[in-house]
Amino acid sequence: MDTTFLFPVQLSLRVAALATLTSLTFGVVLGWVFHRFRFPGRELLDSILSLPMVLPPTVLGYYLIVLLGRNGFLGRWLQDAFGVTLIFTWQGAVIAAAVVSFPLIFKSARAALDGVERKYEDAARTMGYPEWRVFLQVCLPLAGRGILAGTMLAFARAMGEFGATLMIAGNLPGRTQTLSLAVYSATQAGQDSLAAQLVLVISVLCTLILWVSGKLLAPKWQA
Amino acid sequence: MFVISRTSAVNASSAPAAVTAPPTVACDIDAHVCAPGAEFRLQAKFEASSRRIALFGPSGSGKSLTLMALAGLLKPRTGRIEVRGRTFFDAASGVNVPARRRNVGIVFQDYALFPHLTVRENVSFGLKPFLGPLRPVHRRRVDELLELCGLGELAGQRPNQISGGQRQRTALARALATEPDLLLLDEPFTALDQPLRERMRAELFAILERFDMPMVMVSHDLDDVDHFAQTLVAFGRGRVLDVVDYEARRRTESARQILDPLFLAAETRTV
Repeated sequence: MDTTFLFPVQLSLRVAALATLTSLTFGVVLGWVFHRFRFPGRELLDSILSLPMVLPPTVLGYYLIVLLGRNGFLGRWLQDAFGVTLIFTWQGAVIAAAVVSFPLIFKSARAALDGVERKYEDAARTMGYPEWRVFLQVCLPLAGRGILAGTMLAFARAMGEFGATLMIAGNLPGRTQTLSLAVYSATQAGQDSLAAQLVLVISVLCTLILWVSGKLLAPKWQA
Repeated sequence: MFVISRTSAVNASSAPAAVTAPPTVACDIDAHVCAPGAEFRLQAKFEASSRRIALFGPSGSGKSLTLMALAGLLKPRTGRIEVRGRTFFDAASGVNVPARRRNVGIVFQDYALFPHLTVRENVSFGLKPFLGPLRPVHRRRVDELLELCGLGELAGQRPNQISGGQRQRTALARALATEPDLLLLDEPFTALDQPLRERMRAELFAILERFDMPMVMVSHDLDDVDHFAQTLVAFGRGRVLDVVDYEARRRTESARQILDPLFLAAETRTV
């Protein structure tokens, strides 16, 4: 098989994996903050953090360019301080995919953690557990399946990310062209068999992910 | 018709401070609990020096909240909590010992056993280091507790695979494993069916007899209180109505003679 097929597949897997890892970290930590603390503007912040789920990806791409572009507020600082440019790089695609998939993990982590009854945390506290151990040894195991299911969905979403990635990372074959971008290009160029192969790969992958996350959501033990 | 006699309150907070040992529990708190659509005010003031203290009253009288405040799971707005001479909470000096440092064991009303852990893992939970196995001394203690509570055969089962009575004993073993300074029992029998209750009560108290540990039990059940209490703290509508030296009065009076008026007072008293 040639690189026009293999490169987008392996790039998409790498981008989706790194993006999922990033949004998993932020999603679980922020989900825990929302579960544990009451603060003013809590629900408003929840809505803002969930925006990537409902906004058109091109709008997100626009925001990311404003933020991370060469004249962007973060982009300029990254350029000046570290000589790092994210625009038109595959790392930029990771950021786009992470932002888009973040709400899926954040939402499911918050719901799963809120579903852990307070009494379990309290029981651990009376047995001498500091808060970080309560989180790691009580909340995470009890909420783990919900978080894992959200993570699978986030991975699938990151695999399929198109709009924001196109705007921030471009569609450079062999550099930033992910699977979904490659499908678009192949169709435009009339390379029907390449498009078909790519479509098959992404369809099988996403079906697999949805099937596994459905299995994970089925209860294993009841309280 | 209020028939509560103040003279019977042997351990009431007005007792002179010239006692040798500090009281088991000295509590004087004011707490507000906000639930959606309802606000509850708890003003609990009592002192008790016996080893088995029962907080008695109808549901919604504030006895369970008082227990949570003792455990450090509910922060009072003001006041003071002292357990066996240790200050757990003192609003005046800003002391609020967190639950994890109070060394208080608690058996929750529905036990709150960790559903993802086995009976053995539940019992050893409080002794478990973050990484690595239990220390040998703790391992032996867990084995002994499992044996003592009749759970040896069930050690590998999950809470949803065992009976209500077995769950209760698991919760008790888990609370005892950390060798607490004070054991709190929150309505330990309400989750059990009536026929099972009597047997479990006898079993539970037989186990507790072997531990020389002060205990506070919350209950609205006359039989529980009668089997358990040395000191009785009667609650009604968020306040302590009376502190009764139950053991002493029980020598001359029947349980109903002591408890019925308290229940009546709790029901009729207006705040």
